[in-house]
Amino acid sequence: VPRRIADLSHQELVQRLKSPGILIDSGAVTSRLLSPLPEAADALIGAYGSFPLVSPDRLPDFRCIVRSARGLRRWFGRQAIPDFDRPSPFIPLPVRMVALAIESALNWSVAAKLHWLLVFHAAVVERGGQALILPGNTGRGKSTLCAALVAAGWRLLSDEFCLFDMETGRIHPNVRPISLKNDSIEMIRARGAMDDLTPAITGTPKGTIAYWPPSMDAIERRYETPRPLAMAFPFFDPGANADLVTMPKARAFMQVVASAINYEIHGETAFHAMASFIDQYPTYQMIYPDLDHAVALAARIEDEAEAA
Amino acid sequence: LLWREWEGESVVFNSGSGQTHFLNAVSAEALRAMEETSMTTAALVEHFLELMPESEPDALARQMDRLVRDFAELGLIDPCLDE
Repeated sequence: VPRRIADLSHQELVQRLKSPGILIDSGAVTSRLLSPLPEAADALIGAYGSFPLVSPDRLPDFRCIVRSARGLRRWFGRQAIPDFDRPSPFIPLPVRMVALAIESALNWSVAAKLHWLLVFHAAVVERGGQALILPGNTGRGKSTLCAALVAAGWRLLSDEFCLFDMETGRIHPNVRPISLKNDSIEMIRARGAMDDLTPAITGTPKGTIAYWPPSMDAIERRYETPRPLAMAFPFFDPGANADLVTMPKARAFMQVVASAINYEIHGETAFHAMASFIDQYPTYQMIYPDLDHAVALAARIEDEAEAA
Repeated sequence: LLWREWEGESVVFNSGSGQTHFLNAVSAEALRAMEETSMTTAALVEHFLELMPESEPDALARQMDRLVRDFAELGLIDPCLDE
């Protein structure tokens, strides 16, 4: 039986986080997380306890350090901040928010450095071997929608990034905890994430945050790369009737470009790959007044693909 | 320029700037015409008057003038100094 991160004692985890670090293997990406903060061990157990314990000898894709804030900031209470070997956009957070600092560091690694895949902001879930891609920039509710779909039986690939393989046309998982904010925490708890959520962190720059760790099934299947089912641009409108509207393909193309992180780096290759994607798979706008309707619309997308 | 067209709407990739642009049917037709052969704005207006004879020439000329300037600004065409 492979060992899991949670199999380490708290003391072992604290030590390993200092050196040589803990490797987090989320499928397409493996990151070495290093931190001198003992609180990082608690955060890691809560969100990544079920992840396999990877040998520290393995070469990771990225190295993420979450350290204490330096200088005068130390006098305002202990703080945690991601630390990279290049300028990064982070502000120090109180050390009780170290889980948020870890997630920010892991996300930033993908956004800034993962260039062998086309990366764009989207939640991605899979069922029946096909990936439903829900593009949208940060703060548009895609994590909540993603969590509702996972609670309804879809497999989590990512609540943040679609990692599109331009050669094979397949989607690579980046299996990590789903980040739930404010009201969505109780909404998703009520949908089945009863005991799994990490303790809520209050007062963050994004409000209250809790993480829903991926299921064991999602972790075990993190190397499975499904082909796409469809791309559906979510649009939450509490006053609207639920509807699945075919989205003109050129407009869908431009929306993906707008939410892409490294499209311009790949240039022509990304243009051809994305055009081929848009050619092959349906594109929708998914208008939903609540999560129940969103789950029903996702099932309708499956039905329409089967009927086609 | 690399083109893809779906249902009358196009996206065009400018390999010079690395940027992708959305074009509706009219702007796509204008850019395609200019890509095919160099022409003045007046010739472009004539081209559209042939395609859409019901158009009002002055309004069309203003539209084409604006379009040509936008294309030039985006690096999609290479304007000459004197038309």
